[in-house]
Amino acid sequence: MLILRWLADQALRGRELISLALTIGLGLWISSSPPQIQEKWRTAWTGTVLYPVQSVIGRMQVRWDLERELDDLRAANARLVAANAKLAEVARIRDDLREFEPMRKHLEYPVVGSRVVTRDPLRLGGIWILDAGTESGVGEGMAVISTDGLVGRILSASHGHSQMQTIGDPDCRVSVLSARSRSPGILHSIEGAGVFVEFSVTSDIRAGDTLVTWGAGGIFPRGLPVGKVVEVRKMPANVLRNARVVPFQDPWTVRNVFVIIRPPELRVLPDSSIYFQSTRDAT
Amino acid sequence: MNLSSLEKHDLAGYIAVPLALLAQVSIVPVASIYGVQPSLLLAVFVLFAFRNGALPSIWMGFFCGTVLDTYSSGTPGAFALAMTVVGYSVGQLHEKKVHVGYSLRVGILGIAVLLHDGIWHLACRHGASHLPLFLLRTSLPCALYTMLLGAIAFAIRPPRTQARTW
Repeated sequence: MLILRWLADQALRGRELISLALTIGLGLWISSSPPQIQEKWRTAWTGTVLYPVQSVIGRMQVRWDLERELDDLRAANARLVAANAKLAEVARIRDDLREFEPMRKHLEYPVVGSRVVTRDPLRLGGIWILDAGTESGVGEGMAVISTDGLVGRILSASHGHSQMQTIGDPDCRVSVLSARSRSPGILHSIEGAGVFVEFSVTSDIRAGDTLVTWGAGGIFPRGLPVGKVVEVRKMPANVLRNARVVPFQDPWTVRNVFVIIRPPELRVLPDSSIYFQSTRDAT
Repeated sequence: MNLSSLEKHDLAGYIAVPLALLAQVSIVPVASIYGVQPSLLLAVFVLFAFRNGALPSIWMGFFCGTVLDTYSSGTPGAFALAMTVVGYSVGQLHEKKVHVGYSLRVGILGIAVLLHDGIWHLACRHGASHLPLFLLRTSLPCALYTMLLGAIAFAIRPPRTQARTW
């Protein structure tokens, strides 16, 4: 036991020399071995130590390459998605124009295509901004339609853009007729509750009737499709009746619209003029 | 586990030598002038030996030499032998024991290259009679080029000790 401990002490003290002797001995043994043993040693060393290390490094390299490629693909995908969205938008505009084309010949006035640039994303009504303005002939009081039906009217126009009031706006009133009975009513909106038509108890408006613009007031040309009556409700006073209307053009999905360019002399603008005069005075 | 800055320094040294080995076989051949290549591996290895002493240098030299032997077509064990002896020899000048100044370090690097090449030449059994010519024609230009490289490397990593004023 003492001898073993002594040997261990000596080994710890002389570990440099022991290491040197061991490594030199190994080196000399390998270098002086016959070629077959040298080859076996080289194969064994390569297979047991270097190949696994190389394999790990190779796998890491593959992983890094894949990650880099994945990043490149993600960037390319993002670019393609953006390009695709742009192309889809163009295709949508083209579809709208194609759909609108047969309708154009039935209109008495020329139209200008426009895109909705901004809108209130939370409310049905409100003021929307269109990307067509006075340079395209757009002016206050012009009717705005889509391929499906009436959308609203122009409140004000300036160079490059115009403001539009939708039929879902609580301040918007539109004179309408039942296409079946020609009975008149007033289209209006209750904030957040949808679009309604108010009519006299003597008017013959029923659920399922199609409503079109009356043409009274000069803002909206006669006969533009507005919506469909889905439910008629009696008012407590039994003088007026109210009916819920589903607009042909869903206000949430409209993107491209057409402004009917109506000559100024044919337009009557008492309401909006008074409205703007009053807001100007107030400010 | 928190490593002190000294331990991190030492760890970097242990990683630097295998990295230098990789650079030696991949990048350094580009820097050859008229067929003379510097030995980046030896420059880094000698610096390692100065910093860490003989024992780690013996094993590091043996490991790197064995890797070189495996990839080279020469006699297996020759590089391992040469690197081990160089590691042990330079490791005797461990900076914890001896202060070796900058210029002397560069000179020792040149001697280490010659020693390495000499041992390798003999271990490969190229013949002792050809040794002086080999050292003069092949090793000496390489040693000078390596000393130039080492001069830059040693300037970046100066000795941790100061010269003793008697």
